Amino acid sequence: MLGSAATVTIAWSTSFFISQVFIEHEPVNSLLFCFWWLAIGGLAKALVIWLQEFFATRAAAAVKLELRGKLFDAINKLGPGWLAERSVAEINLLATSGLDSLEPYFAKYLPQLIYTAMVTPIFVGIIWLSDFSSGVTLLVTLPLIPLFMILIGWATRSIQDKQLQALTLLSRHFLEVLRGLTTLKIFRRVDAQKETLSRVSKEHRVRTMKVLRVTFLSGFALELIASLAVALIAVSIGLRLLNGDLTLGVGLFVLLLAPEAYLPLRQVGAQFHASAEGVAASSGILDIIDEAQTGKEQQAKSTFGHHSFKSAALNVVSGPSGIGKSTIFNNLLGFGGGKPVFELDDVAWMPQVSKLFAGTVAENIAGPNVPTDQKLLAEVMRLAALDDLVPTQVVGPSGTQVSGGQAQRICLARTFYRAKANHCLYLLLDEPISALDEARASQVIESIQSLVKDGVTVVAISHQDSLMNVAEHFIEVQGVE
Amino acid sequence: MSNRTKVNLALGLPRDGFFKAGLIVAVLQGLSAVALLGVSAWLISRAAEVNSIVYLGLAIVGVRGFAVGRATFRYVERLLLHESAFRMLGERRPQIFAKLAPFIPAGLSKQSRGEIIARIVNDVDELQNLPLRVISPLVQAVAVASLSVVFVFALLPAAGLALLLSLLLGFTVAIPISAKFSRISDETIAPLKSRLSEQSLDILENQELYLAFGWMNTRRNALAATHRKLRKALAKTAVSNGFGLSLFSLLTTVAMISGAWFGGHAVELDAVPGAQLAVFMLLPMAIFEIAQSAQPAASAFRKFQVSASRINELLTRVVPPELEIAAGNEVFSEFQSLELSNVSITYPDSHQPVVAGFNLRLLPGEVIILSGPSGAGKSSVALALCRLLNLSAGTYELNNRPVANFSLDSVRSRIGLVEQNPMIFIGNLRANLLFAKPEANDSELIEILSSVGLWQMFANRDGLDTELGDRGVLVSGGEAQRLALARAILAGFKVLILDEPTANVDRETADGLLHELLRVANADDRAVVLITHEARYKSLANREIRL
Repeated sequence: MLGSAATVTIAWSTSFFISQVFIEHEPVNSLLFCFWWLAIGGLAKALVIWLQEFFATRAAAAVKLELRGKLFDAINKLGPGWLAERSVAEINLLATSGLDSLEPYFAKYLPQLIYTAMVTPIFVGIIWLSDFSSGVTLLVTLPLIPLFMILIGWATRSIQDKQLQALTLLSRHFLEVLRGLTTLKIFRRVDAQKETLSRVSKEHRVRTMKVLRVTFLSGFALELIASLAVALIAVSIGLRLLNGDLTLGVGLFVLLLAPEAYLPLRQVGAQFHASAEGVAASSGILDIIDEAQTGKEQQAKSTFGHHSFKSAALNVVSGPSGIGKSTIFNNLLGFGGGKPVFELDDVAWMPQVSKLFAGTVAENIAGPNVPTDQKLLAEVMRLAALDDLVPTQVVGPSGTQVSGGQAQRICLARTFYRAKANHCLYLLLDEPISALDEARASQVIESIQSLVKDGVTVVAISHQDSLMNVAEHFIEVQGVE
Repeated sequence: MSNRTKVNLALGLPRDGFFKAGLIVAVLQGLSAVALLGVSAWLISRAAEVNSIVYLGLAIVGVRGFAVGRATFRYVERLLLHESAFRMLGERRPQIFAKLAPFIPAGLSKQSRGEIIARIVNDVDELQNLPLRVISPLVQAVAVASLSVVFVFALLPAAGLALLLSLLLGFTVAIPISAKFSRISDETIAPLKSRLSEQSLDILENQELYLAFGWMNTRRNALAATHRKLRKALAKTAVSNGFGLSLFSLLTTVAMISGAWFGGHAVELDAVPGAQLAVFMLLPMAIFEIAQSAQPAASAFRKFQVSASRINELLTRVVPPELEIAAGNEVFSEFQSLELSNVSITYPDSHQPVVAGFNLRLLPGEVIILSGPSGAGKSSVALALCRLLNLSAGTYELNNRPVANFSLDSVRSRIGLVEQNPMIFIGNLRANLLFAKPEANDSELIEILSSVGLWQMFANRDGLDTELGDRGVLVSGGEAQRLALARAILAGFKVLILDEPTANVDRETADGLLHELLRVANADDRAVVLITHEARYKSLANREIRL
C-alpha cells in the first residue's frame, strides 16, 4: 500500500512539475516542493522494496519450518514399514530441496498475488478518475493478461512437462556415462561413447529449443500486451492533447501509472511459471502428509500372533530365510503400520541391519545428547564383547569405518544399555551374532543368558547353532500366507 | 583479470554467432524499452504544444514500433542465448568425459567417486549461467546505459553528466555492496543447508532406531535448530539483497530529480525545447530498470566461478604415471599364456604398494581363485590385468612377450573384467548387451542370455526390449552379474576376471549362482580368475593364490 502510494506520489509530482515548467512557464525555484515530494516518494519506495524482500523471505522460511515439521510427523506416523518401501534418498530430497523449490511459491507468487489483488484496482481507479478513456483501455487490456496466460498455459502444458524431462534427461545421461566409465573402458567403448555424447547433446539441444520456442511465447505475450497497451494509451493521450481535450499534467500522470498498473499482473504471470515447477516438484510432500492423515490403522500382518513365547527365558525364532522373520519384530513394535503389540518402553530391540549414526561409540550406545551412565556403559561394552573400540572413538558416516562385526557389537551394547537402564521386560534380538567370531559370539551368548537370569524375556532370531543350542524355547516360523 | 578468471571465462563463454547475435538483440531490446518511454513522454509533451498531427506522425509510429520491439527482441534474445549456451555445453560434455577417462577407476577412490562425478555433472550444468545470467544482462545494462547517457548528454550535457554519475554509483557501489553481502550470507547458507540435509537424512535412515530407543525428539529438535539458524541466515541475505534493490530505486529518484533540476532550468532559459523536459525526467526510470537487472549477475558469476574452477582443475590435471598406460602396436589375438612375476601395484598419490611380489600364471581353460581379506589388493590385480592400472614393479607378459608390446585395444579385447557392481545403463536390454558387440543380432543375444540363465525372466517381460536401469526394471545383484557375464562373453574375452560375483547376493543363493557363472565363464577354453574372500569355493579351481 505504501509502495503504491509512493508510486502515485512520484508520478504526480513528476507530471505536475513538467506541466508547470513547460506549459505554465513557472520558474523552477517556485516548484521546489515538487522535488521534496519526489524525494519523499523515492525514499518511501526504496524502503518498501527493502521491507518486502525481507518479509517475503521470512514468511517463506516460517512456512518451510512448519511444512518440514509436518512432513516428519507424517513420516513417523506412517512408520518404518512405510519408509522401508521407499527410497530414503528420494524422500530426503523432498524434505530438503523439494521444500526449497516451494520457496518461489510462498516467497514470491503468493505475496505478489495478494499485492496485485489489492493494488491493481487502486491504479485502475486512479487512472479511470484522471482520464476516462485510458481507464477503459486499461480495463479492456488487463484481463487479456490472465486470459492469455491461461490459454498459453493450456497449449504448452504437455510441452512444459517435456521440457522438464528433456533438461533432466541430458544431465542424467551424462551422469550415467561418467558413472559407467569403468564398464565402458572394459568394453572399449570410450571413443564411441564420446561421439554418442556429442550426438545426444545435439539431439537434446534441438528438442529443447523446440520446446523453449513455445515456452518463451508466454513471456512474449505478457510483455507484448503490456507494452502495446502503454503505446495505445500514449498515442491516444497524445491525440487528445492535440485537440485540447486533456491537460499535459494528467496525460503524463496516466502515462506513468499505466505500466505500474500492468506490472503486478505481469509479475504474477512470471512468478506463476517459476513457482509452478516448484509446486510440481514438491507435490510429493503434500501427498505424504495427506497419506498420513487419511491412512487408517492397518491390521498388523502378524505371523507371530499364533505363537507364544516363554517369559524370562531365551526364545529363539528360526525358519527358512526370506519368509520375513524380521517382520515379526516390526509388527511387535508397530513398525509395520499396525498397532504395537508391546509398549515401546518395555522393549529393547536390536534390528538386523546394524545402524550407526555419526557420533562417538558412547553416543551410539547411550543415545545422542543424553547424559551417559559411565559405569553402565563400561558394563554393556563388556557384555557385548566390545573390547576393540574405545567409547570416545567417532564412528558412523563421517567417522572411522568399523567392521561389520564391530558395528554389530556396538548395536548389541546399545540394546543391552537400554535394557538395563530402562529395566525393559523384553529383549528382541534380530540375528545378534551373525557377524561375530566364535569367541566373541559365545561371550555375547553368556551375556544374553545373564540377562535372562535377571528376568528379561529374550526373543532372538538366529540361524547360528551356538545360539540355538542354548535356547529354552523354539518358535518355528513356516511362512506367511 | 586474474588468470583463473580468464581460464574460467574461456571455459564457459560461447563464441559462436548465436551468442554474438543474442547479445546484440539483448541491447536492442533494452534500447527499445528505454525508447518506448522516452518517445511516449516526448509525444505527449509535444502534443500539448502543437496543433497538428503532422508533427507527431513519426513519434506515433516509433511508440508502436518500440512497443512491439521490446517484446519481440526479448523473445529472440532468449532463444539465441539459450541455443548458444546449449551448444557450448554440448562441446564441454564430451571434452570432460574424455579427460576424466584415464582417472577412472583407479585415479578416484571408490568412496568419493560417486560424489565427484555427481558434482562434475552439476558443475557442467552451472556453466550456462555465464552467458545467460552474467554476460548478457551485464552487456545489456552497460551498453544501454552508456548509449542513453550519450543521448542525454547530446541534448543537455549537465543532465547527461548527472545521469552518468548516478548510473556509475549504481554500478560501482550498489552492485558490489549487494554482491559482497550476498557472498557473506551464501557462505553461511551453503554449510547450513548441507547440515540440514545430513540431519534429515540421518533421521530418515535411522528412523526405526530413533523411534524404538526414544531418541526421535532429540534428533528432530536438532533439525529444527539448524532450520532456525538457516532462517536467520536467509533473512540476512534478504536484507542485503533488498538493500541493493532499494539503493537502485533511490538512485533512480536521484537521477529523476537531477533531470528535473537541470532540465527545468534549461527550459526556463530556453536552452532546450520544453518538450524534452519529460524525456530528462522519465528516461532514467527505464534506464535504471535495465541497469538493475544486472544486479544478480555478481552472485551468479561467483557461483559460476566455483563450478568452472572445479572443472578447470579437472581439465588441467596431469595423468599420473600409474595411469599412463604404455602400449605398442602389435595385435594380441590368440591367448596362449599370461604371466605376472614379482609384481607390485601402487595407486597414484600413495607411497605404499597395495600388492608386492605377486606372481600369477594362467593358461587357457584354467580357473584360478584369487583370495584374501578385503583391502589385500585383489581388485587392484584385476585392474592391472585389464591394463586399467600400471605395475610399479615386476613384469606382465602375454604369450611370453611384454604386455606393453601389444596395443591397448587388442589386450582389452581379450582380457575382460566382470565388475563387482556392473553398470546397467538406462535403456533396454538389447542396448545393454549390444555395446559389448555392436554387430550382434537378436538371436545371438538370446542364445547368450539363455546360457547365463536370464532369458526366461526377460522373455516373460518385453524380451530384448525390456527397459533396464533407473526407470525400468530393477535388476537384482545376481541378475546383474549374469548380465555382466553375458556381456563379457559377447565381447569375446578369452580371460575373464570375476570380481566377487556373489558379494551382493544372499548366502543361500550365492553358491548356486557361482557354480553357474563359473560353468559358463569357463566354457570354450576361456581362462577365469575368480576373486573371492570365501574359502569354500576352493574345490572349483585349478589353483588358489592368496593375497
